[in-house]
Amino acid sequence: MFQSFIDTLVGIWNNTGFMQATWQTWVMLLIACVLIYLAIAKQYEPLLLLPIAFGMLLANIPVAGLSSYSEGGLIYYLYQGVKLGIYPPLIFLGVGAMTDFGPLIANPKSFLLGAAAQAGIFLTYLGAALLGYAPNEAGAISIIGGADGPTAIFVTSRLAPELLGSIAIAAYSYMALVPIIQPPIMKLLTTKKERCVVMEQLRPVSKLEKVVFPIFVTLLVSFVVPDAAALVGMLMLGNLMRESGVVARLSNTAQNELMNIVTIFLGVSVGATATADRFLTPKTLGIILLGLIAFCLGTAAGVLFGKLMYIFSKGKVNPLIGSAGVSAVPMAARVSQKVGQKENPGNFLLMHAMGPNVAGVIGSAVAAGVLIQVLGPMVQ
Amino acid sequence: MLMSDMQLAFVVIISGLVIVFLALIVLIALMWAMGKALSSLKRDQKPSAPAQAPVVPAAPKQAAPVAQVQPAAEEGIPGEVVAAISAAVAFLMEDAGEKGYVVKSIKRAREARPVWGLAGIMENTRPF
Repeated sequence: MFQSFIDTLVGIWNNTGFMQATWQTWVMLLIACVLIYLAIAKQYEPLLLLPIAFGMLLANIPVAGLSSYSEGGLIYYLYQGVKLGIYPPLIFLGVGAMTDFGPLIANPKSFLLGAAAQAGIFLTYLGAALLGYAPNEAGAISIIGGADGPTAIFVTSRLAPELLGSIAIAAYSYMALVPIIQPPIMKLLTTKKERCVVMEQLRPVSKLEKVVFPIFVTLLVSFVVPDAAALVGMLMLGNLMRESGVVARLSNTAQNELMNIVTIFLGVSVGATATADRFLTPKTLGIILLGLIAFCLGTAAGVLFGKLMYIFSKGKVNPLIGSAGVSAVPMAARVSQKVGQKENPGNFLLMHAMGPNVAGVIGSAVAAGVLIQVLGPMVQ
Repeated sequence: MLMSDMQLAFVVIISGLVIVFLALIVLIALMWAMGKALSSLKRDQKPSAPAQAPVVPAAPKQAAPVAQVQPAAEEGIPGEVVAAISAAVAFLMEDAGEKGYVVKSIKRAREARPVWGLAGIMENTRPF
């Protein structure tokens, strides 16, 4: 009787996480706790980093079977929304409902800055390929340069789902570090005179223009790059709901309740893909390094194109707004504003920078479509 | 790295950049054309508006004295402001002992942002 009681206790003990854990388990739990600390104490993109980090914590609890790959578990079913490419477009629906494309419509040339900043994506692809990553992996890593979380997750779930955890964590970490990464590059590539340029006030944009814009963008982008249709289509649907003014309830739901619910599901299930066997590999180190390079190249390309526009406009364009072309809405535009105001306290670049900033969202979605179209057939 | 991988990398870079730029340049053209079409539509509507509006006979009589008082002042500056500026100039010039001066024109200083406007913008953008 007593012996069987002891055997039961030993059996239970042997089945606990303490006995099943390996050193990799403890390292992953430590990384998850550090990320939770960064989300709470430093407020690094807490809305996504907190659920991602907690998902990572859950996925690495031995025996519990809570990783995104543990078939039949809670998070496994939540993960289907990532795997099937459902959550990122739903997040884009909310982003569209929150975004004012007015500054971009008022100054359509901003599209060029949004396009130039995507050079970071494609140049990083070369770096990743040179480091020996497979083409589909290189494509997924390079999209970090788009500085757009949902787009990065969308592309990675299509091209290299096994890297999802590392890429999502790298993308959101660097997006939180935009105010630290961008200013030195912006200052290095511009002169004081260029940074001091005060731009002309933007023209007012009519409601008709704002209503027609999302329809034009959806049709054009979806016809050119059909693989970007899900992202751009939902982004523009959200924006049309906002600008039409006739479905305020839907617009409010898209930008609040729906987006919050999807953010929780997306964050937890993406975090839960970061299991020790997939995360603790040399590839993760490469992703972190290449992600930083992608951000820096995107920023530099945007600023350099801004300089080009400064020359051609005879000094009317402040090149600092070019760095906002790397999406990361609205953080990158705020950085342009701050750096510009440091040089001239009476200079307000925020609305001018919002143009390239939202153009960057469209640009990175187009770039994502190109990567999926070219590299998608190579995924087995 | 295989040569075919290198070729693929260049295909991705070139096609990616070309397609992104092309798509966004077409969007620029569309936005530009839409802006032009809408502004010309507004211009067409503007001249017809006075024709439709009933003519007020008193209006030219009211406008005439203002035009006589401030011939060199920029549009939108009321007569009282012109008088106040002229008086201030006269006061300062007389104080300086000058007599043969003429106020030829009065223009708004557009370069500087109004102080209260600047304070408002600073207050609103401080969180950023």
